[in-house]
Amino acid sequence: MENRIIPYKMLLKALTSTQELVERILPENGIPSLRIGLKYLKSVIETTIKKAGEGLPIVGYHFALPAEYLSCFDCVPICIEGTSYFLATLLLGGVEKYYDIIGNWGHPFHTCTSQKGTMGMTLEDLFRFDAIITPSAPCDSTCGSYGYFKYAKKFPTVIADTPFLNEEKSQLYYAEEIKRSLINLGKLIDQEPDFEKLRFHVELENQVLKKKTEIFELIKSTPSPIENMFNPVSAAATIFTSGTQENLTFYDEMLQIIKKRFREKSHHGGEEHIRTIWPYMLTFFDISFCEWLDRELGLSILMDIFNYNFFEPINTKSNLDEMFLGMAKKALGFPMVKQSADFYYPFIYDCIQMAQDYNVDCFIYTQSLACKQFGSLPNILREALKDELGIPMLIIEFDVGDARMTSLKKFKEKINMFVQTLL
Amino acid sequence: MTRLRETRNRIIPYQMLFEAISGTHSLVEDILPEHGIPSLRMGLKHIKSVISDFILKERKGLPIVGHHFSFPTEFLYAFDCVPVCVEATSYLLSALLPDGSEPYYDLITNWGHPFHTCSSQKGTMGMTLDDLFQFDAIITPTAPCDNTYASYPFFRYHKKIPLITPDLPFLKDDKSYPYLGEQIKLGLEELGRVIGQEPDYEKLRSALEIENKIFSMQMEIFELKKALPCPVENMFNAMAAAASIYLSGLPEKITFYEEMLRIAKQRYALKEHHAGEEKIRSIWPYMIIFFDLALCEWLDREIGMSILFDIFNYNFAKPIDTTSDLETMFNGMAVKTMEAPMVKQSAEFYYSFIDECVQLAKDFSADCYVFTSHIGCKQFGSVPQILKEALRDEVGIPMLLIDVDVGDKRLTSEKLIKDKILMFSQTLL
Repeated sequence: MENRIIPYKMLLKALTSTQELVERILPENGIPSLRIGLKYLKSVIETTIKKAGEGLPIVGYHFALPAEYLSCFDCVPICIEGTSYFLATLLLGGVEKYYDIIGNWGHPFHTCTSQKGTMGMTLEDLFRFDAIITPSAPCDSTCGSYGYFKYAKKFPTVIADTPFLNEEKSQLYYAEEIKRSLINLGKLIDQEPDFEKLRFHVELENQVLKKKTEIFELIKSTPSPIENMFNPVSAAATIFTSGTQENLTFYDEMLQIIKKRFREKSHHGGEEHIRTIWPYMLTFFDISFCEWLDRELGLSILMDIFNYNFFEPINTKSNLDEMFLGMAKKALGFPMVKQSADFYYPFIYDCIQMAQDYNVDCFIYTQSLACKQFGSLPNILREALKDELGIPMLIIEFDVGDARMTSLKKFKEKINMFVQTLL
Repeated sequence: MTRLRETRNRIIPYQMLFEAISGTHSLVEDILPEHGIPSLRMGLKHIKSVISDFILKERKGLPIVGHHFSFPTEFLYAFDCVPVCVEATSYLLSALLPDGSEPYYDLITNWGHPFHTCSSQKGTMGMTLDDLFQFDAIITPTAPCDNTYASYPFFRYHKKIPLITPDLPFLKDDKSYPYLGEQIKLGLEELGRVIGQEPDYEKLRSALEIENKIFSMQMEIFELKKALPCPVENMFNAMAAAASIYLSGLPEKITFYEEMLRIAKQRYALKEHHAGEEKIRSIWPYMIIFFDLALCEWLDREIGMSILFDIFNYNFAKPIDTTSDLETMFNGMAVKTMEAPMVKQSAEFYYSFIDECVQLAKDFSADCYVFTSHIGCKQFGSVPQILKEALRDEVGIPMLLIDVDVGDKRLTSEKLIKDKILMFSQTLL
């Protein structure tokens, strides 16, 4: 039964060997986010594989649907996008092979690699989903890719219709959609959604939120008390461990370390020369790059798109409608969904505000051919940052999950050149 | 408002369009035989008349309102305004100007807009960057694709044009229509505040009723296309697409369809084909080529290939109930909007698209499909491949896939397109 999720077994092996390397090679206090993150991610992946072995239904989900929402079922949740990129990070050859498999099948090259990886694995029958659930957001790559699961692989697919605007009636609309789609998913896997269980896991995430917000506040200090690696590991935690005790413990332990650094005004990489915000994504095909920036350039990544989106805690104490409304607000404020909505007003506003609040020297925007929804945005944002705050923004064309589009060497060169204009 | 404006022309591309249509129309009248390509002859005549009227209205100082093609033009007749369709302007100019709209695509790309987005928007964006358009407001639904989200912020943030955005759901179920109906109403009210007018729902009702009258004629023509040979020439598809934008809600559209229906019926009765002999019946589920409409005629005459319809010619929304209350009317408008070309196809992960294509192939005795796929249309993703498999498995017919930009001849040239179709057609005959 475990063989219904072979890529998760690959992930576990890769995680285990990376963790061993980290434990044996790094000094005791070296890159704590990586050390702690790997430990808890491994634990969650082990549980997931065990559940698959017990025969529980395999449910694929889009990263824009918070993972804890699936905790109302006894199921094996598999994040479509998270799997491709996590494997891109940890496998020696990345997941390019699977991008090519689905490209050869007939899927266009210019769509999102986060989906192409899992699509390729599924074409090879490495994943056998019982059902898939996805919001209709945040971009055309979702609409362009999930049709494959539904028609070519015949996996029952449930869609939660996500409004584009984020206002009261759209939130109500989406709350109803989330509830409806969970009920429909239940019918497909022959389970009644257990909303009491869901409440418990949502509450866990409320606690996580408190810690994340505290960390976010501490990042304002100079030097930044987080290491760059915290960003990708935190992104992985958000996708894979949401709603679990492991997620809470990860942030708890990280908060202690960050508070200590804050008190001691110590910087992970020695000295902080440049403070950057990456309003979109980091590289996932090689996260050692984060460490290189910290140590070689003294460049702090204060946050990327997975680490500056917060929401109000979800009210779990009132009735179910209130809870679903809170869940809808959270999902509409989720990374990439929030930025892709409302014609970018919140995105541009957030960026300007954060640049001011976090004493930022520059922005670095990683732009992908697949992310068409952002269109003119990079140029508009660059103009806004220049006009309002007088800070520059570097745009790099690349694919975060495919090392062949823009190589790491090229990437480093571009940043090196840009940094010289700042110092 | 009725005083002629002394200021500079705020819709210069419409002036360009008018001149290009006039030139083409003269050529058609002077060169073609009396019955040659009637859809082109009639379409140009009526579009020219309407564009001329828009130019006059602009000179009277009426507000210039940009709109997305998936926001039906007739909805804007609740106002005294000059409606400018962002997407159609790029493509109609691409069809009629000798150099197409390419200079404007390049302008906006040089400004910083990505090359791989939709040229239908890039053209008008380039023109607006050059201040050839001066919009008072723009209204767009939040559909049908990322290009809309990618492109319209340029108007809002860079050009500071007020942008109104009725939210369009992705799924079609009971709650989607009232949601969109309310969004359209709120959108029109907001637009009214921006341009300093109250929406006149009686005027809107009249425009919708004109469209209701056209519906039955559209359906009749659509039904006639089932006949062998197809009684409608390929060029009709392009002209009907243009009419659906420029003539919507206007009496000229009724006349266009009346005339076309009469000709189609006559050909049907005589079992006559526009170009002599019909050898291949094709469906183009997506778009035909706009940068060279002559391709339509070439297919008819050189290969005997009928384009039974393209995406702009197989989506029909039922007549809107205009006789009950406003809420019912807006609900009907929502249904129509969600059934609009491309909006309908981009929704619900393509179930309706694939299912419909298979059914159309059977009902219209199609020999093949030709799918024009574009890097800008990421929302279709796997669809071409899934559709190709479905047509092969369910109907046993092939589908040719051509990578092309329908508004930019530099991506795939006319010659290359013709070569591909020629080779494909040889496998069919």
